Amino acid sequence: MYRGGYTGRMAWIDLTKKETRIAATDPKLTRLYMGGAGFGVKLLYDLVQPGTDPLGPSNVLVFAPGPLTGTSAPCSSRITVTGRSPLTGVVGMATSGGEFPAEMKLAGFDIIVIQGQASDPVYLVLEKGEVSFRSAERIWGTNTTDCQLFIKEELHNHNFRVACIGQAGEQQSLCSCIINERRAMGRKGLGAVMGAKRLKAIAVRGDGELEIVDPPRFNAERRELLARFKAHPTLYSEFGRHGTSALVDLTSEMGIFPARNYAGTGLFTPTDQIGYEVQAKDIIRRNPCRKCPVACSQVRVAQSGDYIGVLTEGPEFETSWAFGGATGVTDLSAIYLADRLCDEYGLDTITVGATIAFAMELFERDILTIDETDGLELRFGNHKAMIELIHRIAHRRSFGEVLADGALRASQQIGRGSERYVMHVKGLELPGYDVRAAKAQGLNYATAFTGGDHNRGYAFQEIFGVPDPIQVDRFIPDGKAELAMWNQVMEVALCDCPTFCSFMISEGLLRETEQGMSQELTEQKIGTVSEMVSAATAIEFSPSELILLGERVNTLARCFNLREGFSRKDDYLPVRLSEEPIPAGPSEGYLTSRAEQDGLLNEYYEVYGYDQRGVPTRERLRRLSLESVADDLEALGLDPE
Amino acid sequence: MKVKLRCFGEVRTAVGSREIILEVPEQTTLHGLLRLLETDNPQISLGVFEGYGFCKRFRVLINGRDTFTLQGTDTTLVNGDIVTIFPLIVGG
Repeated sequence: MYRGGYTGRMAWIDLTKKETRIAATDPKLTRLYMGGAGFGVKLLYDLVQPGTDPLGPSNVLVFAPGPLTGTSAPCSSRITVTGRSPLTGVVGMATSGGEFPAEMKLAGFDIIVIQGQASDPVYLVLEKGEVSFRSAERIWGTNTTDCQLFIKEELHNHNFRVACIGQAGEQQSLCSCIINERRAMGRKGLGAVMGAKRLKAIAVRGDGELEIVDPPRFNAERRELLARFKAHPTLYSEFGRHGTSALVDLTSEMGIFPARNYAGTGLFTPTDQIGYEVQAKDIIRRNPCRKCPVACSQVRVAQSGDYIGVLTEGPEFETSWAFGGATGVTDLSAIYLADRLCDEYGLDTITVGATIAFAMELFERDILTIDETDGLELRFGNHKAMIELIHRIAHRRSFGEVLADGALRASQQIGRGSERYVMHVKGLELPGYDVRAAKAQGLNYATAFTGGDHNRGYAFQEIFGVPDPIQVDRFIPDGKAELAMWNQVMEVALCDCPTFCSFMISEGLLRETEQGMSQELTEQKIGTVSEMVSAATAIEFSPSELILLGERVNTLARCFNLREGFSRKDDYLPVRLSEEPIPAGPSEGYLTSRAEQDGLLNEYYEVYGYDQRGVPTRERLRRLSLESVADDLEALGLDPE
Repeated sequence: MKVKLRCFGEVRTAVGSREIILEVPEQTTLHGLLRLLETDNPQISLGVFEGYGFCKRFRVLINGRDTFTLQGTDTTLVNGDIVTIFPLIVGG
């Protein structure tokens, strides 16, 4: 039935029974949800009933690459993993690149659905379309590097690619993530879901390449895409050389590098200590994802500092911010070490850095005492305390136990007004852009279906100044609802379903057109993805269908969250951002008032076809082929109009 | 009047410093400043911006603001302004 792009097989894995059922990939699923994030959200909605314990056996983990993953499409080795997040309670979705995504497709699978809970630690081996269970007793307790190495040696094949958890996931820390190679399926605590299921790792091994149904059509588009990459003025020369690290400097110049738990934006801009030019001196090699000609990921070794000699792959911008700006640390080697430790323990760098920064602010404000922190002088800038806390969080040791489930839960435990200083949306700690002066980015934080997430609809128009589809002034809210939706829809339709690396949206994935967000112009812009997926699979995904796909997946994810009891009240930014202006720097004085947020939300719901409660209308759901979801919402008393 | 220039990437390499203070006449525009920079540093080719501040290789900010939100390269600088020239970056 499937001729290209898809393998046509999905694995239903029951850890409780240690059984696998291999099934055909449902054509209705591919037609309406394509792959990746689409598969994840649809299966999550169908399989996980409201109120399901995210750490119980009834939660699922859906690993899904897309139809282009494993083909020769550049920058296509990406995967999404989806489950109900134990950190937020809403959709937990994380993405990653590297080798694992393509290898999983070549091992013979479009989707892996993990259900149940093993009685003892296991890992899975997927090869030649088969799944087998192996005991993970001997590797339970290992870090992610040792775990990957052990599995490759046990399987007598170093070509296996492994996604696994470290000690943090085993401890069910809600700061944990899933690591493949040195990449992270980060945020949202999905490592804890694996840990709760006693699933230490998934090893995949494939052969060859996926068939492309129409190679001339596919290759013509591929060549055109590569030509656009080549013509890009800075893609290879700057991004390929520095990766995301340049954002430390750029956001500082813009006054949106959120320092000291968002209290010191503009007051603390340590670019001379941790900026990209300093980091560049430490690069020893690049480490591209499979089929990526750009190679933005860098391996660095600290040449100076208290932790001289430490090696890490990274740090990405977000990590530099979380362990630099957020915590006020200026020793670059400490940031490298923090990055490396998080990779080894299987911890998410943003959540851990932001949670430590939150605790530091409490300490500075005398809300936390040194007795409560078990002797740690948790002042901003104290990198020794930061490093020690990472160890303690991973092992849930002493004060690390308080922080091991993220900032919001820590504040609930600490009390004493500490909740004011939790920088989160829906329980997910905010990343490294101060959105008081970047309005579309802020609206995305507020409304992303995963919580305060920069990856669901990154406003590159505001952050990079790229005028595509339109040129915008980041300081003003006008027109930002429509732009936020456009970015969210494109993220899913162009990147997380087919799959392509999200970085490519602003770097050549879009065809050049005149500016504008009309249906007609958008369809022209996204023709490359439409062409490549259609040529690979022989299933025509027109540009208009891609737009509907993005709207459908975002809307279904929102409906999952509504079903879990989330609503408009959860679509607001933390109170600090609406009451405290940015204190200094180029964005000084800006805030995002509650009234401004209300106005933006009203517009956002309207452009999405939702009512003012944020509930999709019945008509909207019908247009997105989600009729039955309207009945689900009605049964819950949400009564879509 | 004095204007602070903050340089990144190849502009920094050419100028030799992250930050320089330039003494320029009153009423100098951004265009004038960038021309001056090119004249003093022939190895720099900024391609000085047609349109409003977005060019293919560089992003120029005045006090953290994109110049297209001001008067583009016609923006008149005032004493103490900070002009940032950054290679166009992408990613995130």
